[in-house]
Amino acid sequence: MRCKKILSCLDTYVDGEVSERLRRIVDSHLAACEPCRGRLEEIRGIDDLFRGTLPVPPVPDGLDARIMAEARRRQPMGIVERRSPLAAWNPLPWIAELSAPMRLAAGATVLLAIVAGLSLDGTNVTGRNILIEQGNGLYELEWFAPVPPGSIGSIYVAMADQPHEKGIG
Amino acid sequence: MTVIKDQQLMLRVAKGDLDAFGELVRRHQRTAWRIAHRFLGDPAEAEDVVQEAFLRILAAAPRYKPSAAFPTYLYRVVTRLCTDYSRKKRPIFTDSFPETVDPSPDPAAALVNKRRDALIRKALDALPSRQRMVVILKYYEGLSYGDISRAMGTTVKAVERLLDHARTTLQDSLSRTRK
Repeated sequence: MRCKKILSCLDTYVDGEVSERLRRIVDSHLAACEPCRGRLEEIRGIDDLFRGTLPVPPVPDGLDARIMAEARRRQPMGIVERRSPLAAWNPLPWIAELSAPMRLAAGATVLLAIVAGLSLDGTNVTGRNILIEQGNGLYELEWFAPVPPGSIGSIYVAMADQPHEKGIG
Repeated sequence: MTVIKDQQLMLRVAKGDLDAFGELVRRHQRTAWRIAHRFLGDPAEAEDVVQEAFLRILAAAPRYKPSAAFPTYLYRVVTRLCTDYSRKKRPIFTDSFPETVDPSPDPAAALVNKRRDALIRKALDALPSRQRMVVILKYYEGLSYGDISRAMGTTVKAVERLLDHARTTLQDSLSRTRK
């Protein structure tokens, strides 16, 4: 690999940010190239110079308190509970006093009652009301029992089946 | 005792929990302070930036999404404020250094360290703000290129270029100063 390429990746090489493959290539090149080794030493020199420098004083006393004071000033409500208006509504407060098994039994009983009620009015568990569906067909002719042969009804049905002729009123 | 993770605290802050916010401030104020102080070189300005950083985090909490670690989020806010601050106001180079305990018991060594720190400070202040921030995050916070890129909202390649330019400038600057 040429020097220009090696020099372009020396910073990342020094920082340990190159792949293993590239690191081996750079190592091999540096072993044979004095100018590139010189640049490597310059980079390391800068790094060594910065190590342990620019000491930082401790965090100023009370900084967190000042931040919190300003935070409270900007957010005076504190904990904002965005609760649903229904959260306070509790129609069956006595349920909270029951033990867990009893609450489970109460819930199962309610569910059973709902299923039974739906069944009685013709609704099956999928929500379809069979009676209503059946009733919707009540007005169709198929719902009428076949007329007994020879009856007056059969005569009327036979007349209704005849094609309409003009002039006959 | 169960330690609540930063992201869980932030989710509580999003719901208006100031106690959770206070815990985040206590945990991370030192990190924010270190970056701001090294970048700006002035304690009063650094304190302003740290306070503003946390207050902005509080204001943005309802929109917080735990897609990255909280420190990364903090770095992003602090670095942005520092670079914005430096654009509005040039950093103040001061000859007086903060009173810190020098680990070296030797007065001569302490003096050497002080002079070296002064040189470093001057060289850093001369860097463009983004190069200065990359140097601080790399040398003093020990962040990887990836972390630096996330903190500064840029690419890893851009971080490499910034660091390369910064090292060249620092070397030239420090060489001239020593002569």
